[in-house]
Amino acid sequence: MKSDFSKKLLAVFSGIIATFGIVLACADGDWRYYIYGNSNFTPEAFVSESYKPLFYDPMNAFYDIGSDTQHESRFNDEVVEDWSKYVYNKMTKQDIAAILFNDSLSAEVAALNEYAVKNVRNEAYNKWSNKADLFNSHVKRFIEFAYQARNLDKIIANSRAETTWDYKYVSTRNQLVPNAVVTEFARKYNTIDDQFLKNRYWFQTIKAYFYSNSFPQCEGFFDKTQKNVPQNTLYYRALSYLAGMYYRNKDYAQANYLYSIVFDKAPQLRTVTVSSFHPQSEAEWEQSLKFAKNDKEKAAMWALLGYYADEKRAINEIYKLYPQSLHMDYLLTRLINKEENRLYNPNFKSAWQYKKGLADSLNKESFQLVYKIASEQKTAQPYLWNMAAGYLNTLAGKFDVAVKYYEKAEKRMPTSKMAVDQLRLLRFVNTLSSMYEIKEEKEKILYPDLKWLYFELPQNNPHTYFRYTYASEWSKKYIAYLYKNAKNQVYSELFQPTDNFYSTAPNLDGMKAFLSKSNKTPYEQLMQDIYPNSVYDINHYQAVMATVQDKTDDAIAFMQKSDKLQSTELLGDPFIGNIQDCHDCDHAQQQKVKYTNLSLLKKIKEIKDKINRNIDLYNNYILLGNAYYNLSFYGNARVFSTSRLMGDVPGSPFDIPRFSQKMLTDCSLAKYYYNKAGDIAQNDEEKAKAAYMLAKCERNDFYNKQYNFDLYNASKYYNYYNATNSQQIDFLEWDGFRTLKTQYSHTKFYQEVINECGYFKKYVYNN
Amino acid sequence: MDNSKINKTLYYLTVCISVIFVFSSCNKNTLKPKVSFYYWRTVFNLNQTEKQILKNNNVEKIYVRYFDVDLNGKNIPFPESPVFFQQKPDNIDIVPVVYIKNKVMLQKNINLDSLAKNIHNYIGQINKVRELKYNEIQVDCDWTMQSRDNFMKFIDILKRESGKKLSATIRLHQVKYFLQTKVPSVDKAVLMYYNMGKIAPDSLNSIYDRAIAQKYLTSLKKYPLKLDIALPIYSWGVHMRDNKVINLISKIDKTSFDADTNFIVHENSNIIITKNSNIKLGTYYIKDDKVKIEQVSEKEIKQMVKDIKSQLNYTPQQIIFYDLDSINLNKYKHEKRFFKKITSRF
Repeated sequence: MKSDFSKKLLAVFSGIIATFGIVLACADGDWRYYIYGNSNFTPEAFVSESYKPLFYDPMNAFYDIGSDTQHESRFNDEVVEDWSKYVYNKMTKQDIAAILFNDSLSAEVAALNEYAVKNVRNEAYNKWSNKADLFNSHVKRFIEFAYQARNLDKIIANSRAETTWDYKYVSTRNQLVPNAVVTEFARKYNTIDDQFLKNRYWFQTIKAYFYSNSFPQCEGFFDKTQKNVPQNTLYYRALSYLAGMYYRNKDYAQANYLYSIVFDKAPQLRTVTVSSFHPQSEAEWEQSLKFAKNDKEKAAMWALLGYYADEKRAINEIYKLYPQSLHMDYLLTRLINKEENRLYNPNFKSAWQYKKGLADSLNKESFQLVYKIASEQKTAQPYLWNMAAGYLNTLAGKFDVAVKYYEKAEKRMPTSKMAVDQLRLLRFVNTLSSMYEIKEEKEKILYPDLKWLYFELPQNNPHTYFRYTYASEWSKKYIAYLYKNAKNQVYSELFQPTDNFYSTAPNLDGMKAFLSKSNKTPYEQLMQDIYPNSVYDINHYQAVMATVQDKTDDAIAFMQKSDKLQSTELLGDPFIGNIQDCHDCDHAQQQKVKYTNLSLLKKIKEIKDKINRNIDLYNNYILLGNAYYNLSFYGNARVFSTSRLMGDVPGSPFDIPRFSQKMLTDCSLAKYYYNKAGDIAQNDEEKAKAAYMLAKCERNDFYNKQYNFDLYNASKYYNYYNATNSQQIDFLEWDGFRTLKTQYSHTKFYQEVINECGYFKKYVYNN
Repeated sequence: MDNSKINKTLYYLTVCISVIFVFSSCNKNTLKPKVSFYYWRTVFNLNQTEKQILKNNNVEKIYVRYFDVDLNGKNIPFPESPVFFQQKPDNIDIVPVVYIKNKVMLQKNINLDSLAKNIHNYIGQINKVRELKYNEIQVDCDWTMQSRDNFMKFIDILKRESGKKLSATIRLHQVKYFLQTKVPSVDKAVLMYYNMGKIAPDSLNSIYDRAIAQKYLTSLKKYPLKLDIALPIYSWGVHMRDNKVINLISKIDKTSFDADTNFIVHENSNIIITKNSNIKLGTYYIKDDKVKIEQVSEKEIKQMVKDIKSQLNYTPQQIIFYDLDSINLNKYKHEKRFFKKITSRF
């Protein structure tokens, strides 16, 4: 009862599943296969829900549901509903479902059957007589049927034990259901007059035949009885078993024909039929087509083949046979979605390149086919074809022709919100694609659609399946290139932030001026709203730049205009300088003063004032050296330079935006102050410490040289790690190491370094 | 020395030389590797061609893939696609081969005792159907650095659990980097001399690439275990569309496309181009699809033998050809004892 089409049957067709496996394996890591990320054409806008799992989805076996997990439960609700009517509601639906499907009730159902058949009043009778009218003859017959159906399922269940370490199901799979069981179902079918029961025993007989692998008998029984059987769900479920038997007997032509009938008439079984359909050769396919009794049946066969492999060929054939077929419409959505996926190119570098790439690569035959069918207006949903033809014309660069098709579509299309939105989206894509330059009047044309796309749809999108995110991303990129071409770097950056925009002062000033401008037009406001960075982020960035240029007053002034960023709390004490760089240790250490971005800068200013007044020069120089060291990528206060603009705490220098990579990895300022400290050091302990701190900076300079920030070459980064792994370059003979060893080996600090710094220890013992 | 003496001496010398010659040639013969095959279909059912090949090449033993070990939805190992012996193999030893997916061995908390017990028991269940006997299990697993320790432990447990001889397949990289990948404590190792490249939409052959093989060849003699050798005789088609691999089509070769007007076949190219969309041997080809036929020629097999032989200071005990299937064997039907002749080159 549970199984309409068991896993066992599917196992027969594991070749198909294997095919999916390979496609998936190839898709691994390839963004191209994420359909929402590259599609403007929403099948849900026009095609019936019954086709939904068959919409194009290169990532999964089936669209939306991923995989078909309904093999044992697909018809449960329908079955319960049918029996509920049959027993005149003398038993609740919940109880009917329990008696049919609940595995833990096996013994109870067997006992109830004793009552139903032999009138034995047992414990189960006592229990269930409170729940249902057990005197009712229909209820009794239901119990008897459920008992027999469950018994059949129990035998078949062995075939589902595929993931256990029990070999029995393999060794016995060909003779699973004993003939006596089949015969008993057939006898019931032959002897019962009640048409409802007769129909169900008929189905159970076919199912039992299937699992007893009695092919000729099954075929004979079906042929003899089918004219008396209503063409309901049970009929098509039985037909799929029969198709499975033909398949097992390698009569693929007949099997594929029967699958196509099930595909056509029983939408619930579409996922099953498309997985089972597996034509072997052209000749055999021709033979299958000959089984079809009329053009509609032939169209259904092509509909399966279209899904299986070739939408274009299928549409072409169905159109010749039966142009009103709705199968053709779902195939059209697959054709378009596949083409979008194939043409997807996120790496275009100009509007021209983008358009040329599309027009050159578009499949001409698909284009001609859709164009022809749309023009002839013979289909059931001509607006869908007009819209598809419009879209393909957009992709082909024929924007005026697209406009005409969209007009045609609009005249006869459904008024559902998704359909209306779909047309608006495609028109927008066409309008923007037709632009080679962007000026004020064009900005006005685009504005309402951009507002809709960037703000209204994400906030208020009632139909989650509507595919607008690709248009949103694509349009930003396309518009950015139009502005770039017009040398408007600021507007280009607003639509598509780039990693090196802030490398130049004119860009920075231009953006700041734009963001600070009052009385913006709605279009300007929209650009600002889609831009992730604010003027505060830019002020903070300028504060960081002034800091590392040793312009502390300017840094304080900019930081004070950075809104919340001035209050960012530093995780460790930026004025400490340990022998080992251990950020986590520094962060965990108790800190008397918790510095913020601004209070740090003010403290730096205070220290500089002391230096100017000749107060405690050595220590203050060391403190400044430590602070500038810790503000860099290598220090414990990296959070100082984090913002939306400059990014989060970087894991590697390549996580820092290009415009600030060099600045944040540079150790020059720290070195400057450590040198100053070394110069005025009063004793060897102080000199030793300054020398060691300089060595830390030298080490960072060495690391920096391994990266090539100007080229931003990812392979360089990779090579760096390869080099360190294979050559084990942990350290070199820094000047600071040498000085420490040759001049200050008698100091206490030297001993501390020996104890804490393994590299130095190694250096000392190797030299 | 009179003539008769000379003749007598010559006679003895000749006899002696002959005896030496006979003995040495006998010795040489016994050193030649035996021919064996892998059987990789899920139903064991040999056809006439296959039976004949086994007979012609004096095959005494075949390695049959019994099942794969995969993980189910709950990450529990289970036997996938077990073999079914439709016929009982006559006069031939069967060695069960268990292919364990690396992801099974990558499981950190895997219960290796239970896995070994299950595998041993499951082999027993399969053998019981046709009352097959066995004294060796071969484990096939492309273990990695991350799964290495589990795999090594597993081999020890399976050996203890089954009490059988164990053999394991060894990939080229496991030979070259055996210090890192370690050596399983098996009785015998089989070097898989195929699957060398990536399955990719280029014109290279992923089954065998001599340039790649040569990077590993010199390591063979350093490997701590004596190696048997597995050589490829299979072919497949790499189905490509829009310059991407979309499928692998097993059991086809170039001749499958001969005289089929739906395809363009060039004599000097391993790439076949689809002229008209069509269905062939259960695969659908769309116009402009390409099929790259990957196969190993007879000349290449001989080259493999020569290369391997030059690096080994011993003769392998057996050569196992992958795989026993009449589609593969038909390529070599021009020579009755082809496989025997190949192994005699060692």
